[in-house]
Amino acid sequence: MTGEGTRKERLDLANFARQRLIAGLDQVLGETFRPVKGQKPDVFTDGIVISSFSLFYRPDEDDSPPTPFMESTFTSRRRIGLMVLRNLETPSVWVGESLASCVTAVMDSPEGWPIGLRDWVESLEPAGRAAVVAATITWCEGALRLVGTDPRIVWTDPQYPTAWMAPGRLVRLSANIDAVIGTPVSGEKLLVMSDAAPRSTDRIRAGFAALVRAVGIGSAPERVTIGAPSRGTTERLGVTADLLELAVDQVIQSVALAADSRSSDRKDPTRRSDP
Amino acid sequence: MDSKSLSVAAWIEDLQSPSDVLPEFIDELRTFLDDRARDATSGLEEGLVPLRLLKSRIVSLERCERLALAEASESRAPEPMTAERFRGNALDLFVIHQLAAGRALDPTEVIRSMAAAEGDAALLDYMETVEAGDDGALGAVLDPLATVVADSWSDIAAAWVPRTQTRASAVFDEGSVICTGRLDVELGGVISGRPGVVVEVKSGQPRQEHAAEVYFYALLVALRDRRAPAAVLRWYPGAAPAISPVSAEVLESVAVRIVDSMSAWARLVAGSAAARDQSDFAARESPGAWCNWCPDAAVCPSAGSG
Repeated sequence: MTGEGTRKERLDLANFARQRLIAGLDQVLGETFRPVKGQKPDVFTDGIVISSFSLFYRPDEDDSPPTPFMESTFTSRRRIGLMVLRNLETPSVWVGESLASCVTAVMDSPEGWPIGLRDWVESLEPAGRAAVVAATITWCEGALRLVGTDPRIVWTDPQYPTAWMAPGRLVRLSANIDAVIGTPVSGEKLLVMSDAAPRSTDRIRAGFAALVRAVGIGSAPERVTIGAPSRGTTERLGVTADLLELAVDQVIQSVALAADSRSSDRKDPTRRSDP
Repeated sequence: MDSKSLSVAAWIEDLQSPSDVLPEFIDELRTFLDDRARDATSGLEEGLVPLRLLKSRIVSLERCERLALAEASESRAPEPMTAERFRGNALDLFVIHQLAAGRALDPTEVIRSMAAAEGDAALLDYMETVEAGDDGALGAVLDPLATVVADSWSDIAAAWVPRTQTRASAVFDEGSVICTGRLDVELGGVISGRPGVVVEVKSGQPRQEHAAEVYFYALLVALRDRRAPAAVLRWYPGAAPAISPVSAEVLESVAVRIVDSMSAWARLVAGSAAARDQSDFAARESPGAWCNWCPDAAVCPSAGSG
C-alpha cells in the first residue's frame, strides 16, 4: 500500500495510520490526558503537543531542557517568508526583482498574522524590522532557488499549520510543511525544507509530515520531498505504510516520554521550575 | 580614492556575463570530492564521522595541525565578545541594514535594534558594558563604520536580490564529510538572471588567506546551485572591493585543498581518538603568527619558534 497509488489506497493508508496512532495512544496513555467534562480543553496547557521540533526531544538524554520560545529573525523568517511566497506574483520574468517589494508589502500588513508574531514585529524598531526583512528575503530566495516558481506549488499558510487532535485526547500533532502540490483527490506531494545536516532521522521527519497530513485530512499524501536550500538538494520519499508506521512509533515514544515527564512534574512540583 | 572605486554597486554592474564554468565540470568536481571523502573516511570508526570542514578549520589545518586540533577541542565554549569581534559583527549588521533599509542614521541604535531582533544577547551585553564605561565609546567605533558602509554599499539595484548571511553546504560520500559556510552577502545568481557574486565582508586588514576563504565559498555555491558564481568579492572598510573572477581552475584548486584537509583531518581525529590523551599523539606542529592565539601555545614545544 503506497500513497502513490489510487485515491482509495491513499484513503486506506490514512485510515490505517489513524488506527495505529489511536491504538498506540490508548496503550501508553490509558485513561490519562482525556478532556474533563464541562471544561474547555486546552491542549497547550494541559495536554501533549508533538511538533516537528519536539519529535526527537528526549528529556533524559538531552543536557538541558528546551529554552523558552522567543521570536527572532531566525524564528520568524520562515513564517513571514511563507506569507510572502503566497503573495508573490510569479509570472514576472525575474521573480527576484519583485521579492524585496513583496516582503515589504507583507511586513506592512500584519493584520492576518499569528498574534505572537504580529505583536513581536510591531514592537521592533525600524532597524530591527530591516533585519527581519533581510532575513526573510534570504529565506524566500533559498526556497525559490530550490523549487522554482511552478504555479502548481501552494505555499502553506503559517497561520494554519498542518495539525491533528487525537479524538477524545489532549494530544495534538503539528507538522511544519512548507508547500503542497496537488490535492487530496489527485494526490498530494509535500515539501518540507530543512537545512539540517542529513541524518538517520530524516526519514522519520518526512514520515511525521506525511502522517500528520494523512490523519489531518483523511488522505495520505503521495510523497514527501525533503529540500535543503543550503545544499540545493531535494530527496523524494514515497509515502508507504512502512514510512507512516515509522512515524507512528516515534510519535508514541515521544508521547510516552512527555506523559512520564508530566507525571514526574506532578509528583515533584519543584521540578518544573528547575533551571 | 574616488567614490566610484569604493562602490560595490559600480563594480558588480561591470560584470556582464555569468560564469563560464560548465555544470558538467561542477558535477565532475562533486564526484571527485565524493570519491576522496570515501577514501579519507573509510577507516574511521562510526562515531568519528561526519567530518566537518568549515573555512576556519581548513585554514587552521593549512597553518598547523596542532592548532586545528586545539581549536576543535576548545570550540564547544562560546567565543567571548571582543572589540574586534564586535566591530566585525557591527559591520555585517550595517551591510544588512544598508541593503534592506538604506543608510544607518543613528548607528548605535541601529546595531542595538538589530541585535535585539536577532536575539544576540552577547552583542547587547557587550554594548551595555562598553556604554557603562564610557558614554561615547560606542559611537566612536560605530559612526565611522556606518559611514564607510554607506559609501560603499549604496545603490545596489533590487534586481540583484541581495541576500545576507546565506548558507551554502556540501555533503560528500552520503554524509561522511560536510563542508559548510555562512556567506556574508550574495548578489545575483539563479533567480535574479544576473551573474552570481559572493561577497565576504572583512573588518580587518587584507590577509593572504582571505582570498582562499572566499573561493571556498564560491565552490560551495557552485555545488549548491550547479552554477558557479561569476566572481567573488572581498570588501574591506574604506578600500576598493577586491573582485576576482571564478574560473574552473579556481574551483578545482579549492577542491584539491578540501581533499587535503579531509585527509589531514581524518588522520587527526582518528589519531586523537585512538590516543585519547593527546600528549601521546603527534599532530604536525608548524609555528607561526597563529601561535599567538593557539589554545595549546602554553604547552606546545614548537610554539613561538617559527
